[in-house]
Amino acid sequence: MGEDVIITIKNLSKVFEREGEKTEAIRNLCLNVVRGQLLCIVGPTGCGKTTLLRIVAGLEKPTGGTVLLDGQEKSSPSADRGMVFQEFALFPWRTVAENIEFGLEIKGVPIQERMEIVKRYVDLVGLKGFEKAYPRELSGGMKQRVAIARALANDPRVLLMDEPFGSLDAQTRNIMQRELLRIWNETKKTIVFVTHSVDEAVYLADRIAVLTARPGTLKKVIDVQLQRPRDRVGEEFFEIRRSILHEVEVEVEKALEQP
Amino acid sequence: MSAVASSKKQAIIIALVLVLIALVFVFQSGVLLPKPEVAKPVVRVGYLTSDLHHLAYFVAKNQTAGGGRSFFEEYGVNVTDAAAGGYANGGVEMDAFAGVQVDIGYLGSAPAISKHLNAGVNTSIVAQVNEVGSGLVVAEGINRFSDLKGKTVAVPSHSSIQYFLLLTLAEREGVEIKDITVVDVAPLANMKIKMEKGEVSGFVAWEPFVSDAVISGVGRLLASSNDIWPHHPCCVLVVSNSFAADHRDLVVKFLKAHVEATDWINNAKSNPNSTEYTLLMDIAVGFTGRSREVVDSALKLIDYRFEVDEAFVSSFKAFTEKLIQYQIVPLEKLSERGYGDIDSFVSKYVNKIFLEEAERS
Amino acid sequence: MKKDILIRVGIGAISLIFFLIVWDRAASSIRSPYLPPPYDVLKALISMLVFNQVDHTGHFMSDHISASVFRVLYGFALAALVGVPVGLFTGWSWYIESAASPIIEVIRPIPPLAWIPFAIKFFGDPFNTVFIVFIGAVFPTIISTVAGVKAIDPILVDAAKTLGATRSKLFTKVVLPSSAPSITTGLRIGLGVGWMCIVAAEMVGVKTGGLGYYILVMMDIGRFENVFAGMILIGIIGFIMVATMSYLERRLSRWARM
Repeated sequence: MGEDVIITIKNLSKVFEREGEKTEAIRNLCLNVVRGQLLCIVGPTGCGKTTLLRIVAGLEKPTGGTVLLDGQEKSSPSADRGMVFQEFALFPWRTVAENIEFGLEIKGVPIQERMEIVKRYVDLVGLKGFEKAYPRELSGGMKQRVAIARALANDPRVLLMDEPFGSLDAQTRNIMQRELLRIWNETKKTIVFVTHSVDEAVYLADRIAVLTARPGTLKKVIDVQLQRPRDRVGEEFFEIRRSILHEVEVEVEKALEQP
Repeated sequence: MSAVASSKKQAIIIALVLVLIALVFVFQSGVLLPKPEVAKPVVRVGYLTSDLHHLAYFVAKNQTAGGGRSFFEEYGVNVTDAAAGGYANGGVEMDAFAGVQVDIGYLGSAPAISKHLNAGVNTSIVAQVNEVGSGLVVAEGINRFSDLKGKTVAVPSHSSIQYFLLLTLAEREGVEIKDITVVDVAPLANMKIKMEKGEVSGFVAWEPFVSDAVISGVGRLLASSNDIWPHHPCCVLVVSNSFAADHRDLVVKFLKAHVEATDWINNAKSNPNSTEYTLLMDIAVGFTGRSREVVDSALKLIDYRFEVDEAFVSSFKAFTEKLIQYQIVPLEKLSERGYGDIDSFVSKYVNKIFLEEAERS
Repeated sequence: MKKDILIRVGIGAISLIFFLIVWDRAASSIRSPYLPPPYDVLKALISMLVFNQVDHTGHFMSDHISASVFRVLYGFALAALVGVPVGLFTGWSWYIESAASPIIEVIRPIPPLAWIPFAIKFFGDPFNTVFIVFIGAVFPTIISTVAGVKAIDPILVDAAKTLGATRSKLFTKVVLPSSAPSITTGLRIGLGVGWMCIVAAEMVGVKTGGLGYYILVMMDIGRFENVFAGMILIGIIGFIMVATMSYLERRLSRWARM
């Protein structure tokens, strides 16, 4: 294939069992993630995209199949797969700077070095001056910047993002999308980005994976070859958006028919 | 069942339960029950739990001792325990007097004096119950009183006669009381435990705690209270003044029974081989739960006396003076209660009129 | 803000004065030494504290106060040292909780008073009283700590894991700081309960006096103005201790308040 694959997801399946009832969230899903790419995963609600991301992160265990990171099987969480959550998940008892250095503390990085790294990432996400603030003092957008800085400061091999802008208002969301692209451009990290907004996916992604309705499996992979910065109201943008939306809507209908 | 129907059901159940509880209360209060026939007034008697000093009460209740019927029955007195099983200590019993729950009671002189003067409990003393009957028990290694210097001695409280016995003995032996660590230990059963554990080297207690410790080998009797302060007052018979005003005859009859029971005890004690003595032991063992050996030994130290004579009055006065001297009863309380001085207190508070009438008839 | 505080203090003062008036009226209509009027109690308080008179047990009020405070602080320290770790481990590990839970739930409802014979038999002064305080203080501490651990937002645990936290690092860097507010709440409640146990605890037979002992002795001889004075002192000191803990609690959990 010639692509530099960093993550290989092979025949992944996940069945949840609750009070005797089984729910098949993911069935036989295969997907490759290319190094350095920004991959978006879209699909109807309940298609298992968040579950998929959590399995890659190691926060859930698959019922079947494997996840390989640079050829190594990964089934538990570690610092090589950083994650950003929709709910921000900042540690409320730590300041912005202390949140960002969390992973570094765990690694045992000495204080001087930690401070330098923290400073670099604070600047990168545009939060200079807020190092000593507490999460409760920040707006949603600012919190997510901290979360991104925190994940990146830990130098993971891949950054997983689970609907990170879902809690933000539309304006902030657009700003954060631009900011994410800027940060991505500077760090060149592989990003796997789950969202249910096709708009967002088309704006951000190099490649979009569409999942089917439950049980989720890979429906289609579309490469988005538009140049960045992308024109949200441009014709090409519109075309790609329309075709992907169509794919997703078919799945949404199927999902509605499910019990 | 729909939500509305099930909450209605709940409401009905709750209402039924409340009605049931209300009914129980109403029945308990006797409001709905038929009125009983008017019986002779019952005398509510207070005493201390398992206290061997109050033996006269149990003898007076005993039908065999009275020869077929009890002394109380003989003199036509209906008695009942004011508190089932007795009170924990004299202070609590005086509180019960204050709460008008006791008509006549057996208790120690210390609370009889302090609760009347400090807390105004409206009572008077009408007879003695016993004299002496306490002792100083010491642990191994203590051979004379001065060995207690620097050691710990337990007393029931700093307002008890036992503490004053300790003070008196210390003075006599030339030991400064501040060289001894005095701790309050109550209930008295704990004194033996503390001595076993080595926490105290001595204790001053009333019988049968003394005999119990000696017989189980925990300690030795170093001095009996009679050795320390001969004929010191111990327990007295106290009557509620309002009860005495309304039921003078009952008080006199009660005292008749008390006098006869006390005489009976002394008789039995002087003939240890008699059937009366066996009966005495049975009664004592019955209400104290002690072994015969302990009771036998304890009875020897206790002097059961009902008399209110010069000797009693003067030692009672001496005790009152000590209580005032040691700040247990502030001096101003005397005038607060309407007594000019200690003498007037003693003469009013110790009321021998009833006893004299009982002895006359 | 200042105005609010002034108003609050003002209303509180008026309420207290009203309470004193009601007490005084009740005392003068009942006229029983068992309910002394506030003035007598005040006199007793002044003679105890200002004139520092020795009472008939040979102790100064300062002896009583320091003895009780020492016992409570000792018992509280033990309760914290035992209760917090037990609470943390019980909340964090399902296995430990299964083992500890039945023991805790059975012992917890037993009132501290019921432990007195046990304490007398097996411990000497001061540990016999300290033990009663400990029993009173340790359970609120454990319960509150367990609740704090269980209330941790699972997403924080997820985030920590993706930042490389091992189980032990999770414990020290997430569980502990996250449950800190609940822990301090439990400690504050425990301290209050421990102080309330002081009267019961000092029935055990103390050598060096104590406020609970003082009240018992005064009750025994019927000097109720001293009993009430002692009760008020117990209340005031208890208030000071709990207020101090509250202050600490607020400082440590500033981040938790939105």
